[in-house]
This record gives sequence, C-alpha cells and structure tokens, in this order.
Amino acid sequence: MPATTLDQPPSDAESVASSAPVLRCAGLRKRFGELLAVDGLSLEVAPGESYGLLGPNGAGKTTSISMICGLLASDDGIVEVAGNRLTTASVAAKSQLGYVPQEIAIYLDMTARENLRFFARLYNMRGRAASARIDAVLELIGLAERADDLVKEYSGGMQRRLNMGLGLLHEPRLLVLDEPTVGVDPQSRNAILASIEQLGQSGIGVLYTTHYMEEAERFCDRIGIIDHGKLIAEGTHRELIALVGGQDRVLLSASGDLTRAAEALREVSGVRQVLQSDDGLDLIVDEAGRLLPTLLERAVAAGTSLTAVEARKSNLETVFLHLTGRALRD
Amino acid sequence: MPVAVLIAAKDLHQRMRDRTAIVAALVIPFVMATILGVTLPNISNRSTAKYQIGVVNDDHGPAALFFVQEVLGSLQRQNLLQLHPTSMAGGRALVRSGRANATLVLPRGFSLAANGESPTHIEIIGNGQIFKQVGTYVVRSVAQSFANQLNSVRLAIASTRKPHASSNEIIRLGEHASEAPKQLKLHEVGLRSKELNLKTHEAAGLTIFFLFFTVQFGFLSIIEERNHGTLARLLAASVSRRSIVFAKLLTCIALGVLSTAVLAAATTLILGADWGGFPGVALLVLACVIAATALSACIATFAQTVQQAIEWQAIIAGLLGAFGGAVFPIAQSGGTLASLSLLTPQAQFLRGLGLLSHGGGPATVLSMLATILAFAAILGGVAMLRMRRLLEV
Repeated sequence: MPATTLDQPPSDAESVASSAPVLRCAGLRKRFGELLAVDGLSLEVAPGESYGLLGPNGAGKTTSISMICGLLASDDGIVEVAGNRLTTASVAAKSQLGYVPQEIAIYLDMTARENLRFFARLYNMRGRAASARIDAVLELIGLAERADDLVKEYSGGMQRRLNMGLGLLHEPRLLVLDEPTVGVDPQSRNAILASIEQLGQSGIGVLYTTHYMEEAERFCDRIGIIDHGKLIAEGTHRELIALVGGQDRVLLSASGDLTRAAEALREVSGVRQVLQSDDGLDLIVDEAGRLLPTLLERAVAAGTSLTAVEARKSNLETVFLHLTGRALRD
Repeated sequence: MPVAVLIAAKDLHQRMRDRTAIVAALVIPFVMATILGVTLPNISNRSTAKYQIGVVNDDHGPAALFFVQEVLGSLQRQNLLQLHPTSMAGGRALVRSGRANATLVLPRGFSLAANGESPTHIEIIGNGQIFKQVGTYVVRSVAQSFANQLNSVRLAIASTRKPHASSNEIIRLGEHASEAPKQLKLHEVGLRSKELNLKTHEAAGLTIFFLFFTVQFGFLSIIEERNHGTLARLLAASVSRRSIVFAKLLTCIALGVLSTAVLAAATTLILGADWGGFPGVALLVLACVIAATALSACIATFAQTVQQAIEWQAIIAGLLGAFGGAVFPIAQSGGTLASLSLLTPQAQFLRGLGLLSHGGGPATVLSMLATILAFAAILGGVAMLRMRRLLEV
C-alpha cells in the first residue's frame, strides 16, 4: 500500500522513487464486431499529474478506461500501473488503481461506512488502520456526519461524493475517473473538481475522461483528445491551443441561405474553416477582431439574417473543431 | 476472510435488510402451510398411513374369513388399516361420505370359488378424489396380492396332484408354501413408505416451492450489480470473476439452507409436521438448494434485466412446483403425469421425505438425491457455459 496521503504531498525520496509513470498504456486496441472502438491508444500519466482524456460521446473514452482498469480485455496493447502489467486477472496492478465509474456505483441499501468497510476489506485493509482510513475518507468527502445513514437517503451529490471516496479509499497511485461530473448539480460538480485538483497536488496520478472541455482546461496538466478511438492530439492546454496557431472562433447565429453564406465566407482571406449547422455558421479565423466586420458584411450580402455574433479566443473546442471538422459536443 | 465469503456476507447482509426477501422466504410459506393445515383439518389430522376401509363380507366362507381376519386384520393390527365391517349400501355410503378410503366387497361364493377352480373376484368401491385414491390403491394391492397367493397355491396343489383339497387345506398350504402374509406385508409397506402425512406434505411442499424463489436473489444480484456499476467496481478492485460467481453461489446456498431450516423447525414445532431424520433431510435440502441455485443461475445468464429474470424464475419455479406436487400431491394421481413429475426436484424431495418420515435412513434417498443433483448438473452446466456473458461490464 503506498504511503501517499491526500493531505500531504509525497516527500522528495518518494517523488524520486515514484518518478516512473503510474500509468503507461501502449497500442491499446479493441474491436466490437465491425466497430473499432479503440485504435492504438498510447498514453502515460506521471505521478501527481492530471491527464484529461477529452472527446465527444462515443469517441472510445469509456472503452479505453475499461481496458485501463482491467474490466475489459484488450485485443492488443499493454497497460502498466505503477510498473505492474495489468490484465483483467491482475491483482498487484489493480491494487494500485482507484476507479470511479461514471454511474453511482455504490450499495444504496448500506450505509456509507458499510460501503467503505466492505471495499476496505476487499483491498485487504484491516483493523485500526482501516477504520482510521475510513474516517479520513469520510471527512474528505464531507460525509462524516451522515456516515451511518443508509446511502439511499443521501442526495445525488452526496452519493457522487461517496462514489469518489470509494475510489480513493485504498490510497491508490492512480485514480481513474470516468466522467464523474455527468448529471451532477453545479455545487457538487465544483466540489468534485476541487477534490481532483487536490489529488493532483498530493502526488496521485489522475486519469480523467470528460466531454466538458472547461473541466479539462481547468485542472488537467495534460490533455489527450480522442476521436473515433484514436488519440488525435496530446499535450498541455497551451500546446494544444498552439496547434491552431492562435486562431479564434467566430459563431454566427443566422437564418437564410447558410450554404451560400458559407461559400462566401470561405473566400475571405484569414478564414481557415467554416462549419455549417442548423442554426448558423461556425468559423475558425486568424484574427477575429480584424476580420469580424468583413465576415458580417459578406454573410448579410449572401442573403442571411444574423441574430447573434460571438467571437471567442481559441480553446479546446477550437482545437477539436480544427482537428476533426466537428464540434466537440456533436 | 476469502473474498468470496466477504462478498457473500455482504449479500446476505443486504438480504436481511430487505424485508421483502424475508417475507418471501419465510413468512409466506409458513403462513400458507398454516392456512392449508387449518383449512384441511379432516385430511391433515388423519395419518394417511392408516386407511379407513369398509369391508362387505357377503360370503362368510373360510377363504373370505381368512382374508378379512388374517390378511386385512394383520394390517389393522399394524395400524395400517382401520376396517369397518358393513353392508354393500353402507360401504358405498362410507366411501361417498369420505369416511372410508375404499370398501372391499367379498361376494357370495367367494370361498367356494377359491376352493374350486371357478373364477371369482373381489370388488373394490373406491374414491376418485385425489387425496383418497391412495386408499383405493392400498386395498387393491392387498386384494391383488391375496388373489396371486391363491392362484399360486392352486398351482402348487395342482402340481402335487391333490385336486380336491379343501379351502382350509389350501390356505394352510398356501401359508406354508409361499409365506403369503410376509409377501403381502412387504407390498403394503412399499406403498406406505411413499406417503407423507398431509401436514408434513403441505409444510415441506410449500417450503420447497418457495425455496426456488428464495435462492434467486443470489445470482440475480449479479445483474443488479452490473446495472448499478458495482460489478465493475468489484472487478476493478482485483476481485476475480470466479470469486464473484462463487460468492453468489454461497449466497444462494446460505439463503436456501437458512430459509428451509427455519421453516422446517417452525412447521415441526408449530404445525406438528414430521420431516424425518436429520441427516437424510439435510442431504435432500442441500441437493434441492443446489438444484434451485442452478436454475436461478441459468435463468440469470439468459435474462437481460432483473425484472425479466424474476418473471422467468416465477414461471418456471411455479410450473416445477405444481408439476412436482409441492402444493398438491400430484404423484398420488398415478399415470404418466405422476411418472413425469418425478423428473422435478420437488417431487423427488417429497418422495425422499416420505421415506425418511417413515424411518428410512439417508441410504434410502440416494436415488432421489441422484435425480435432484442430475437436474442441478444440467442447468448448472448451462449456466457455467454462459456465465462470462453475465459478468461482462
């Protein structure tokens, strides 16, 4: 069991000893019939690093996570957790890994303490050390006062927090969170994100999947963008933004002949990409501030009626659009 | 504590907290057994081992007297039969009113015919109702055995070239030559051993009927855990699929044995049911729990949802229970249906209990155990072949 705690960052000695990646996967591949769900995924997560796996629904995030956690056998490729090879039958590697699934995976007809005690025993935690750790986790997730109430009496947010606490219970070297904020109210979402930020500071490696780019931007040290089962880009937030060369995004909400308008806008110098949707046009341009008057003029001239205009600095959404020609939330 | 035991303990803890499960496993079968015990007092208070038989002796000859006093009388002394000498009309009335299981009529000239070579017959007035047919069979068997004895003695006498032996001589020779009473007795004991008294039948039948519902919670919980995501969490926590299956198996067996033990104890103490010797009963219960577990595991591997599995289990367990005589003693109806019902664990369980409740030991129920375990092996085999599908997350 690693000695790292949530409250204290690892000592220098520990940092040196654990400088090897806590997660390394290479060439992961999974096919379901005709569908190639994951196609050669390779990534590494260092100790204390938060890695966000960003992609739209159906991109292959959950399949990747399932293979990384040993829930699903891969067709090809390897996964190592804290240096231990992980398969569906692994014990050593899985004991270094905490998993927080997308759904609330807890026993509703048991109390929070009973849930934690059950999983503590599964992880071979015993006696006073186990009790102390359970109390610490209850404090961390803010459920100490309701620890002996049945979980089914909790609010959704409290259940989410317990869901996360169970993943942290055995002090894993790597915490894998599969879209932990889906369907969560803003208050609980902020609490969860704050906890994850704290985890990164405590030395635990975090692999985090989401399709909310704001979350990935907020606390991920590095981000991998996945689409159709392939990792199409990887790097820090700044590195990814640099992929689009400082380009900006312009959203024109409009009606009328959008096809004609799109063709007209593509001819404007500095317009890199034009994407047509039901309610308007989505553009990637070199300098939004300079080009905006021209863009509006051309769009109106092409027979559209504008209802709203929005210019944004480059973000991960822009990067995804640039790389795939599709919006992240399609 | 091994992981499988830990998971099974968690499952049992959850079940104990679920009042619905306790009601289904314990309260309903006990209440139903009690209700049936109360609403069928005339039947349940009477030992089926002691049949009420009307006897119409229109002959009064030596062969008829021997049959009534020695053959039937011997069975009465063993408390197997209660004889009611009566007239033809009285005999019919006894059967019609349910006071006798059957009436046996020895026609005038019976002894003379037995003495000579002319054919004769014994008439049996039986009752067609399902609970009383056994009595008819008993009497028919006794009469048939007696007729066989007479025929065999006749053959023996003919072979000794003594064509004019008196009926008394025939009977004496018959006793001596073929030990007729022992054969009759053996035949009768065979019939008797298949019967449970009705109180016990209802108690054991309903217990075994509900057992097939009680154990389903074990393997159904895999579908629940899969749907709720806790199965993925267990698998991510380095719990092997084999441990999970073993844990669910333990849960089923613990639930089944526990509920059966509680019901057996309660029906014995409160209803006066007689389940028989502990070792044999324990073996039968364990075999049935395994069979019920195999069925529920098999169903769980085919079902998409918990609700679907519950519905399928209810249909199959209900059919098996009804067909196996868990509610009504279908085996006593005779014929193909009764023979086919022996393919069910329920029928074999009740048949085994019948032997045990009349003093049989564990060895007497080996064939029943084998049939029940064969049922379990077939369904369990199918379940194991499909188990990987159930454990996919």
